Amino acid sequence: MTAAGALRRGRRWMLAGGCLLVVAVLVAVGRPLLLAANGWLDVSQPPAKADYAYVLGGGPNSRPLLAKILFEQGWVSRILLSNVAPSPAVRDSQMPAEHEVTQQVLLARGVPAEKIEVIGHEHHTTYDEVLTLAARLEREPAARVIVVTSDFHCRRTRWIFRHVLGSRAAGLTFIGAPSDDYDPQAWWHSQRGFSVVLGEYAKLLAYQFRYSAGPYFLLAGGLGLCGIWCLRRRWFRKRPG
Amino acid sequence: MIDAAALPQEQAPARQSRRRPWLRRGAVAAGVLILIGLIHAPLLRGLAGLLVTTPSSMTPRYVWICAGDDAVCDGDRAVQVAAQYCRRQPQGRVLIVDRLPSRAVELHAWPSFEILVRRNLHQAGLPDADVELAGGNANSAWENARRMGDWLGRHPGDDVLLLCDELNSACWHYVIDRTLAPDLARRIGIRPLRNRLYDPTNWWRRRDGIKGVLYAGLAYAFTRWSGEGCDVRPADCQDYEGRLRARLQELQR
Repeated sequence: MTAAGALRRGRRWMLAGGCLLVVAVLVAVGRPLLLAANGWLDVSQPPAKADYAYVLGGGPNSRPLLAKILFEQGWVSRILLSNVAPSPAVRDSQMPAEHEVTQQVLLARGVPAEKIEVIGHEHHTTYDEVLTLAARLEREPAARVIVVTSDFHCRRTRWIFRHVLGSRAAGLTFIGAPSDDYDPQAWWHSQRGFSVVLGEYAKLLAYQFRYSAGPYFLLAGGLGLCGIWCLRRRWFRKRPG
Repeated sequence: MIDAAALPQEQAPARQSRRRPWLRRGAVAAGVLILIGLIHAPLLRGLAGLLVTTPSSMTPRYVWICAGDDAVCDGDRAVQVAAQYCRRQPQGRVLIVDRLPSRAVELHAWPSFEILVRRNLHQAGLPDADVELAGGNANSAWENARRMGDWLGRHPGDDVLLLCDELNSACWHYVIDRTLAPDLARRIGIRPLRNRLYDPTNWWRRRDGIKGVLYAGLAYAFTRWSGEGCDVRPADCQDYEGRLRARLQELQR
């Protein structure tokens, strides 16, 4: 065997060994890794005294109940509900709009009607909901708000609020209502957990590309590194001495 | 640093041939990217096509409206299509499998799936007597299929046409095939319904289309890979509020 052949063979063995090692590490730390993937999405903070709890759209079975507990325990004095855009199915049927359902849940759990306020107009995305709160904070700059969402949605929510509001987001507290239609300790064993967690990562990535230049810099940097790697021999060869 | 000029004559071509693969690979990568750019539309259409099953040509007496994840019908305009079907079909009837009541239903803030469908069918001109409950408390597509299997067992002479969202249709097909015995599964036809929010031929141009394909794709991938999985039945209102209080205490620690 020639020296070059031996080298190639050695590299192949190293590559196979490396792959095996990666698989072994993944098997060993797979479960903690998966648990961490779910836990990373939840950046809930300890509750702090605030003027409003702002309930984001998307979870009428859990989020208003968290707002109710915050109201009941005196953390907030009023509850703001996001006016979510109805789907075509809602528009042409006898279904209540989502904010109406959320409002009904709060009323049914004893929150007085005068303490509830629906804000904004037909929000399609979390981004729209942030813009509505930003407008509110323009009028009431001293207002402190607890943003109520779901645990898996908490990181993206915090990112969007900080991205849009900048330093004004310092007065916000983020709390996620726990999801209980899947086991967070084994989310990858449930179809809902699988869809929710992976879907949330996909949305996080999409938001980064849509609303921030960071990923493009990373991409450009990666391509640049690839270019340098490809041209390194030529570059070294042309250097004198 | 090694100078190529200082190398023996026979080593120079070897160096050149080692440099060329990078150029070749770069050209191939660029070619592949250009090709993907040119044919991205059929590729993405094909990707969404994996989630859609072939529409059944069956025209049975019963049409089945199933629940989606959000306690609404799985399939845009399912109620209108079902009402239209029953008007055209002699003695046509609608079947419903009710879903597990959510906390909003428990608090009477949201109607149950059965009530919702009955109300909307009534609005669409279908008498309440033409609507039949085939089962209840279904928490997933698998449980829906089981309830329908039981109903088919009790009605040996009847077939059923399932109306569902286009992007969930392949998943429903798979679940029905896996849950029911072949003779029962054959008695369920599927009619995929298009969503008005996006055009399936260019779904990637609309946010709703991307979301639809993403979630339907994840659900189908999980179903094919893992089967039924283990979804949890959500707690009732009192229990959930107890959990929320405990969580707030935990966050304060």
